[in-house]
Amino acid sequence: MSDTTTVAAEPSEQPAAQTPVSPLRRALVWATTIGVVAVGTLGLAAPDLVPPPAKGGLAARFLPADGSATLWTDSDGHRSVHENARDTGPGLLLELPANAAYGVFAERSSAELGSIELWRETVAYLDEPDNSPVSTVYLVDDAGVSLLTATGGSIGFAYSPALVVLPADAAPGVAWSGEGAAMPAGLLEYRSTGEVTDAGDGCLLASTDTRYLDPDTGAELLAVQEQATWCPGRGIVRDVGVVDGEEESYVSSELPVPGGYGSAVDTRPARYTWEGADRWRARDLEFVIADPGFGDSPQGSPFDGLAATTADGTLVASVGSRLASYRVDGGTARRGWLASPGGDLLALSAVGEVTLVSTAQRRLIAYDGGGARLWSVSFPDVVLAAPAPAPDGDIVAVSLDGTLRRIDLATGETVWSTTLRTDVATTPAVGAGLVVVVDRGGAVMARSLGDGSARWSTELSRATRAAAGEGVVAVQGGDAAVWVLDPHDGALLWKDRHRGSARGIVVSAGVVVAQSDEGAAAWAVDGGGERLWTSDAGEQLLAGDGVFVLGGASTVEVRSPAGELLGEVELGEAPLGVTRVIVPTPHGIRVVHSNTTGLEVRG
Amino acid sequence: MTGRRSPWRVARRAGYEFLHRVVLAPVHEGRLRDVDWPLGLRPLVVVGIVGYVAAGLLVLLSGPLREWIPLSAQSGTVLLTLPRALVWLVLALTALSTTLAATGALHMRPWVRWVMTVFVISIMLFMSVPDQEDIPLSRIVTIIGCVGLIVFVAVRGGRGYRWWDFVVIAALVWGPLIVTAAVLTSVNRVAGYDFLPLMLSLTLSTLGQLAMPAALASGAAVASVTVSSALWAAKIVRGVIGPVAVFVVLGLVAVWRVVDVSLVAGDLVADGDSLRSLGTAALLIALIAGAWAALARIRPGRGEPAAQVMADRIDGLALVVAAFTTTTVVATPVLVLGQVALGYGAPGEVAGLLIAASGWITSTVAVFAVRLVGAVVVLALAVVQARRGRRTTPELMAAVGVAGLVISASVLVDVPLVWDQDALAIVGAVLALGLLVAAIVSRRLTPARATSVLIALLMSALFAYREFVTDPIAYLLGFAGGAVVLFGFVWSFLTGYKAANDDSPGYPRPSRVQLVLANAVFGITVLAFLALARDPEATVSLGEVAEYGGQAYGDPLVAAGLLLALWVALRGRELDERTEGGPPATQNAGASTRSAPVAEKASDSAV
Repeated sequence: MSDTTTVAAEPSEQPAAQTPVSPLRRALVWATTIGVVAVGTLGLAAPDLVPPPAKGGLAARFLPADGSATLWTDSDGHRSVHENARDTGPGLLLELPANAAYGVFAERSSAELGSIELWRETVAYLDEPDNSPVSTVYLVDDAGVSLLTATGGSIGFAYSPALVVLPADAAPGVAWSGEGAAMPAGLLEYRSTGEVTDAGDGCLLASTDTRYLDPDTGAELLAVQEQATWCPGRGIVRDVGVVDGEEESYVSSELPVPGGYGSAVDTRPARYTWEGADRWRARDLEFVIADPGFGDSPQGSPFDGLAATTADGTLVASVGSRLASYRVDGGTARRGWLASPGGDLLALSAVGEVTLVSTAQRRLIAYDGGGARLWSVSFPDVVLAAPAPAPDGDIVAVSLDGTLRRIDLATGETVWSTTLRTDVATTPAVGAGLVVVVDRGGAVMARSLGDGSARWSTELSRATRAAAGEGVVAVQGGDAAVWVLDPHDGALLWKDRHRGSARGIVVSAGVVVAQSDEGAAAWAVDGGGERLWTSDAGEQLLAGDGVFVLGGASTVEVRSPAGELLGEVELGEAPLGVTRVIVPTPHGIRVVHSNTTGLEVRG
Repeated sequence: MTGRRSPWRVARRAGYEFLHRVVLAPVHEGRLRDVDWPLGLRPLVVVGIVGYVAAGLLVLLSGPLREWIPLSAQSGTVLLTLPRALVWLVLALTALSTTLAATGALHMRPWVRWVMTVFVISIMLFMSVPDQEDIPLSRIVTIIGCVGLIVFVAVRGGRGYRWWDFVVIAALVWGPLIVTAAVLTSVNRVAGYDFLPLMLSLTLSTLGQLAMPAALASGAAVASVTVSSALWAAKIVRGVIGPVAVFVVLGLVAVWRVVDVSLVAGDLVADGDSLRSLGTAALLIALIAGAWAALARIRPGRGEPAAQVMADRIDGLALVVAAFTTTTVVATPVLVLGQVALGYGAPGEVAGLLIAASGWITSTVAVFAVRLVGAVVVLALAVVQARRGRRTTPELMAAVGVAGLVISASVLVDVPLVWDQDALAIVGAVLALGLLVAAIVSRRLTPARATSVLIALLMSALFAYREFVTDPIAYLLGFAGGAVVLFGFVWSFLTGYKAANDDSPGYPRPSRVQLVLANAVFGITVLAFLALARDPEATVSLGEVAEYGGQAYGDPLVAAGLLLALWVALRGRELDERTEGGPPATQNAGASTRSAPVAEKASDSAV
């Protein structure tokens, strides 16, 4: 019997005598010991697992989820893609034109703004690409779901108080009314009434009559009668209305996933020649929120440190876990479409006109040049690295659990999918009919680009990423080692090492260029490991057609494959705590800082 | 052997013997055992084991869990995605290991007790730092909890184990943590922030460094299994199947190794780095042999070390050496103190000094200088042990010390002296094949010599294909680097805690039991966090640490095993024929339940 009260004592003490222990006491000890751990564990679990009280009352359950999207078709057959963003705090308000957001900020305390709950719906038009993308922000609070701002149209609205569209006590038979300002500075007023009826299948029909009035004369300027069908978790699924006597109707449906919309999508990867690099100079870039109704205002929301450029030079950047596009003209970047992929954004890239973004919701999402969601593909785990372009308008993406897929970029259809059963966090290399993936353990695995079947694999100590091209596969190790392999069988052709921690590797124009935090080095592909040139630039590496851009802490170098310095531009150091991203453009490069400043570098 | 034996019975007996020798006996010897445990220790061990199993399941199921449970993303220098609904569980496991550590140290020597108390208090204060409210409830409760802990340790410390010590300390540690979690959750959720994953990440990224000694030691587990597998596979072939079978298996394994060596020979000759690796592997074996020769000269009496005892003892030795030579064990508490000083408004100079000191302690020069000193100390201890007439432990210490010297020196003076594990296997195979050829030519290939050569060849083969141990786990995990650590942690937990079954006034058994549980639960909790976050850089890269541990502790064990096998083969004997006073091991294979460690213990006691 070992459950006794024998204790080990200090040298000065006499060992306690073994005394029999009653079963009751033993049971008490067991119960107390296990109980205290159980109570402690439950104490940690309880506040974490109990969801916070939802705002919006009964109306809250009708709201669509963050990152959800639907296809809307109007009575004329025109289609648009609606995306939803949900957020707590003022983030979505900061993305509004200053004139639209001013009233919201002015009327609320900082504590109220800190916990304000918002829903944003953005619209991207598929069949009317010239239409300006419209964005509507709703307030979710004790009153229910209320319209706060509508921007992007030729007339912008900013409601004060917010115009209730579905009351907090949303149930058949409930009616409500409201009035207030519909534009800043009292330019327009509204009066609204509404009532809820049952629409079947758990849905509600909210009928509203909103009149927009001239505040000076009281004259009715606009009348909107609307019958919106709200369904749980889907938002408005059908909307029939009369706007100034003209009937309009919309119906929503699921996005065709995958399949696309039948429209042509440019999936050709951009090629950069970067001629005239000796004439490159940097000019400041100003980011502007352009709105037809509210006018221009400077961008207030900081970037999140993710940016990409589409083939036509459009900049896409992440702002508050959402996307915003910018058309750059001279020194001004004017905001265009907005998108809400949902969840936190992990990797952002562009192939042709298509923007690709991966999210913490384990999805890879594609947007066309107009910001319409093309498709969304779910992976078993998150995709941490940008997908690689592949022939025939495809891409190859790999998720953290090693799920490797070739995907049709235009439609999102999976060409093939295979499981590597290891963790992969870097972009696959595509070339020579292969996809080469490097896992975090240093395993280099080559798969057939045609069907994903295994070709060869090898272990290279601390290998982190690969690049393919020019008839070789180049692999970079975390300690800046470089191995060049034969794509046919993975045999080692040559290896070398430079200094520092690895940052990136490219193969182009017969040269392998590898970059670490301490600089870059280049080797001829078939040079047996003889180093061609080195550079001190250790921040970012881009490859064009026969030219390399090497970003350093404060400068950007443009070099030929032979190492000739074709151009050098002084950027200045990025401010402390500011993330700098360098993206290629057809005419040069673009520098984006997380503090909403940037540089356009070109001739 | 009497009577006719069916192949099935022989195979079954050989299989059982192998399982018994390689797995069951080490577990029987090395696991925690209820040796007069006082009232209340058993439920504590049960709680600790439940926590350990829960963390182990989190590691094993991390892939599906990441697929099923919504992930929270923490952007920053490291992009961390974590199954959100499991954050509380990892926090609870961290709190459990902290409580076990504080309770375990309570009745140990005063310096241990108070160092641990200061560290636990630092952790508690560190976790409450993010509460920046006007009335910082969690800070207030934490300070009360810390004062309570200090008073309790002052009153109860060193007065002997009582079951309610754990209950009181658990209340003092968990209470403030629960309040902190509740406050941070309630404050941040309304503002749309999810702070708890960030808090967990901050906590484990800081404290995770403390898992380094366990991770380093875990690197030796694969080598330990490799050595004992080779040893017992050959012995069982001889003891259970028969001497003729030894020659047959030896022939097959020799062909296998010849093919292997031939295949890589071309690459080795063509590549300067590989040639250097071969040279340094040979140098390692030569240096260990030299150290052993020196020990033999100063030790009274004759006899050989036992390979199985070395395999059994490497876990414990690696853990002790790693704990005393890993600078992060000191740097982490200093860093935590610095962060606490910063968070609680101490003068910036104090916090800056502590944080800078922590940084200096973990610089490469400091890390390897301490490891170099550690290696010298281990060599000195080997000499002391040898002078006392002990065997095996001095040889194992010498092997580990020599490896530590070579590794540290190569880093500090930037000379590429570090060997490659595959090169070590090749050198072992070449030496064994050479010995085999010499024995055949001289017609001296006796069954005993053949068995020893077979052991050496099997050792080199199994070491060359050492992934056979961890590959199945790696496939299950889908997480590079995690398999070696998980295997090492579990193997250490099952076989490496023999010292916790001992007792002494300064380090009483209940304290030992709780401290090893704390270490085990904390180590696997950090691994669970890494597996769930799927980011080896999220705290400390345990996979890389275990890889280093494999080199620092596993490779010398394999080199020692190879050296022993080759030495006894040269002398025409069988490896571990006698385990220092024990009965002949070959005769025992299949008959005795007395394991080599038991015999070794008896021998040590006799000495």
